[in-house]
Amino acid sequence: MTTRQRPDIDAALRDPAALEEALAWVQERAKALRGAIGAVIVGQQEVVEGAIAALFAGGHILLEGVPGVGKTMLVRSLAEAVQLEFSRVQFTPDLMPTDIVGTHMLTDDGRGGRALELRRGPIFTNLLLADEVNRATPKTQSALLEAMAEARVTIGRETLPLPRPFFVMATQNPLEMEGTYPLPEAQLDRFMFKLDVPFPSREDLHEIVERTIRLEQASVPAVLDGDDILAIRALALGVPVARPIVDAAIRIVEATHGKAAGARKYLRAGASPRAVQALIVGAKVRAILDGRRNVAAADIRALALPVLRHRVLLNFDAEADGVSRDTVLAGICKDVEAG
Amino acid sequence: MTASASHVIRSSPAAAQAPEAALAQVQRVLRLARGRLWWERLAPDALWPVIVGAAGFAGWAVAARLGWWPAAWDTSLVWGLAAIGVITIVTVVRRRPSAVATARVVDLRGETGDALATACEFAPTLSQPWSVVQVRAAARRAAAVDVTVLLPWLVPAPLGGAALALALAAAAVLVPGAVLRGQSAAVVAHGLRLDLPAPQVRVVTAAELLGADTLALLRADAALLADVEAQVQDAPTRAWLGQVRQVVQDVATGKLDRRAALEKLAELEAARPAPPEKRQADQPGTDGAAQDRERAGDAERDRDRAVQKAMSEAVQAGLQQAPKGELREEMKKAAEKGDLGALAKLVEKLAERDMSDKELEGWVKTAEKIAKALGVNKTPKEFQELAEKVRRLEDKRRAEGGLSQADQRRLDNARRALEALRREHGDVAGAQPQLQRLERGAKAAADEMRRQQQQRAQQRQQGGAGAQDEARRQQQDREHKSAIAEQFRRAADEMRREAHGQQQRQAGRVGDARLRDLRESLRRAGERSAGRQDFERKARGEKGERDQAQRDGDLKDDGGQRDKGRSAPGGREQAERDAQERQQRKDAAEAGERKGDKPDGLGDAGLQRPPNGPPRPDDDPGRGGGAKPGQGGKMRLGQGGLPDSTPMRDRGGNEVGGGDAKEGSGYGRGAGEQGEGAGEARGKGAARTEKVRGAEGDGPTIKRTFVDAARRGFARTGWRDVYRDYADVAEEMIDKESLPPGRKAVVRRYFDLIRPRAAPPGSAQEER
Repeated sequence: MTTRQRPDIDAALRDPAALEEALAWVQERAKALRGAIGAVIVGQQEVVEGAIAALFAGGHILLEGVPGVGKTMLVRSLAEAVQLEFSRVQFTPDLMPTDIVGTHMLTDDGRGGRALELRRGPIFTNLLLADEVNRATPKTQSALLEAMAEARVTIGRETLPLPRPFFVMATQNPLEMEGTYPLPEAQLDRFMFKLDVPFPSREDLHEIVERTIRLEQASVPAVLDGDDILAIRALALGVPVARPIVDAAIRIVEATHGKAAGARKYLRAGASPRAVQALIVGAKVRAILDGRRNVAAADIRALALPVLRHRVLLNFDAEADGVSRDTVLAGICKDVEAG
Repeated sequence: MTASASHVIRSSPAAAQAPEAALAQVQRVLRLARGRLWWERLAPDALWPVIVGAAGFAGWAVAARLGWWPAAWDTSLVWGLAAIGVITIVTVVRRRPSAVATARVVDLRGETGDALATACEFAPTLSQPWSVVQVRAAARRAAAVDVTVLLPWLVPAPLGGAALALALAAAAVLVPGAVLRGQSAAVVAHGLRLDLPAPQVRVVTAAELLGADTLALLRADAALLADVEAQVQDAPTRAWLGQVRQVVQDVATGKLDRRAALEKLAELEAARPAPPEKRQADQPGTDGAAQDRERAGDAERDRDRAVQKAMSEAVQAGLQQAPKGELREEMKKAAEKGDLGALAKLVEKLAERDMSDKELEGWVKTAEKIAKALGVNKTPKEFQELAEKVRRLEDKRRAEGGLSQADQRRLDNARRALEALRREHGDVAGAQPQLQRLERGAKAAADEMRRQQQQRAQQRQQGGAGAQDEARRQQQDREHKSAIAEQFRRAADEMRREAHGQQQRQAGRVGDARLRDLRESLRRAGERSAGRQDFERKARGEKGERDQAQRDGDLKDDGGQRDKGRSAPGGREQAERDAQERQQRKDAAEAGERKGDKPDGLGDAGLQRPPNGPPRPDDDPGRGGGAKPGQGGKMRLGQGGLPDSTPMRDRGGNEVGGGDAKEGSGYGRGAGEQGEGAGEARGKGAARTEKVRGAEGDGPTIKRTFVDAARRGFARTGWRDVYRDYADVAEEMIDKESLPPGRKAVVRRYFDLIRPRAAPPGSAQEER
């Protein structure tokens, strides 16, 4: 099987035939990426698809799941498959911002003198795994704000760009809430998707046991590189979206601000405009990864929960009634679709 | 976020399809789907207008057949139907889906991933690579879509409700009226009959039929009659005039409808009180036409005029013998005016006067002269010759069964000349009995006065010279004077009686004239209304009045089933009303013919209108020939003035007459009364030109009346009014009926062509 060469995206955006070729290449690469990750990660298709979509869309993801469900493995596999530099930071209460972004160190200059030397932190990478991000203090958590929004960091008086692509995958454990610091809303809003990593099914557990309890471990082949990701991102961002589809996204976000009955009853705060952007961009990526030439309303509906579940706040009634965010948001999507 | 494998589109040769062709393919599918989607949106409610309309119709039909539907609700019914129509149209239009909406439905049901909606959205930017790619993808999706499966034709709902409503509507029409009214089976056994109600006849007041100018004239007539009523001394005549005035007022104020007004008029015409003195029906000149009130009134007036003229001439001749003085001058003036009432007053004054022997002698001679003058046959020789000529020619016609053309022309000329003389001198021959009576009275009075005068003279010469003799002579002298004064009083009473008789006859003629005018106005208004209704029916596509009447007649001839089957109140009454209406129309036409026979169509009875009164639209144009224009602001009945007190109206409805307003005898004469040609032509159905003799210097007046038009009531109606009525009806019909636009344009063009134009500059003639 011959592998297509990465097309010239600029040319593809000028010529329909080249565009068709580029879309076919994207579809082929996406299939290869899914296959590479699938060699290591058993099940978790929705999480994998979300992670891939966020990677190509230039967003960041927040993974939430109990320990041992493969969050770190997913990130590592993804990094290996796309041949990107990977860093992992284990967030702890005593973790300092400089531990993440870096700092100036006073060092000998070799001639008897001393100089301030910049020591870059682990954030200067392509894929950053912020493991158990909610265990760090808000001060440390906020160190990620500038990096996630603008892909750069400021150390002292110096602002430094981060390598492209820059992709943050944060994890948090929903069970051990003691000694944790919930992420502030501003921080949460920077994450494109919040993906819940479910406990594997029995079949998946069988598969996991079979794959992992043996001498030789499965390796992840490299199927993409950073330039491929940037090319796919450029192509995806160019997909035109029909106004009714954009309207559908907007109406869902508006509904979280009290226009839907469920939102009025159970939500304390709705989603930000970044949610609309995330919905549209994610839908575009999802469409071309699926090999479609247009964005469908189904893409919006499919991405509604990952995009919105960390951007809305439940009120006391929801807490009292034991209603989850996903339940409220599913009701909102249903109302919007019916209306 | 599971990827849908079915949506994967692989690169294939089909992807190279031309974007325009791909777009056309998409649009073709959408066109097919759009109509079906539209119907799908309408189908659930498609039959509701049918249900509402049919149920409403059924309710209306039942209510109308049972007589429960007031005619006043017809407008509401029309508005309700219009509202249903408008709501239906708006609903249908609003539910028409847009192309994008159609595409989204097809996308949703065909699981095409919004490809068609996106293609519609970006079709205008087909030059963009992404648009091309998306349209091609949509075309491939559309090719796999079966619209007939996605959007099947739906059965409209609620079908059962519509069927039920239509069945009710059919039952409401087809079920016999007797069943609806719960009548016996025997009546029902006549079979199914469309017993729809007869059209409701709206009671139209006479005021609605008459024009504004006619109503204004009626109000003026009422004021005139009030004036006359106040002056008449005869109680029955005064009461009768009051009733006439009341009818005129009721018509003008809309209290009477046309039928009731005509009935009242007929009653009043029959109830006109007879004059105080006995009429001599066998008078020469009355030619047995006493039943014809108009003719009798004209004969009356001619006789009165002759009497008035003879008295005037006799008094003026007698006054030459009267002693000079103020009294003589006053009597002379009164005689010149023909004012018998004033003369009577002056004679009474004379009777009270203490006169010397010379003065007494002078007045006795005056009485003798008057009696002598009245005794002279006033019939002009020319009149006698013409009358003889007419009689001879008529005898010849009777004997020979006809006349040659030359003889017929001679007879016509003689009749016209005789009529002219009659107008000029009055009916001298007919007035002979009255003149003879006056002459006998005057002669007896004069003889008695002469006898008393002679006895007085003899007694003065007789007797001694003693005081006792002197006292006796004075006593006898006073007695003679008293006897002479008594004769003067008798003469005055005679004149006053004659003056009152004339006044009462005049008042009767005034009332008669108003009645005739009113009846004629109502007749014309009724015919005009009937013509308009006929036009309306034709405009609606129905048959005309005559056809309708024929149809009615057919129904009645059909064993009278129509009337038998309708026992609801109003059915038989309606038929009777129709019959009465037709009979009245016929009577009115006959009355119009009778009117046409009368020699004088206008200017009766000394009518004087207020100076600024509105013109009567049906007045014949007349030209004034009187001595001087009338100056009276109110009408006064003449008392012994000139023989003819007929007023005359000019074109504008003003009067020109020889009356003296100050004296209250505002009667004149002029060519206005010569409108008999018009009356004759109108009645006999032959248009004819009459030459009307006008005042000296004014030249002849030509008057033409087109009989057919006059019968239809159009001749005196302004074209602008006629046009407005008919154009309004036509426009209303055009708006109501569903006509092709081209036909509407033809009708509108026709009315545009015949619409009244502005009169040319400088032309004072009204547009007709």
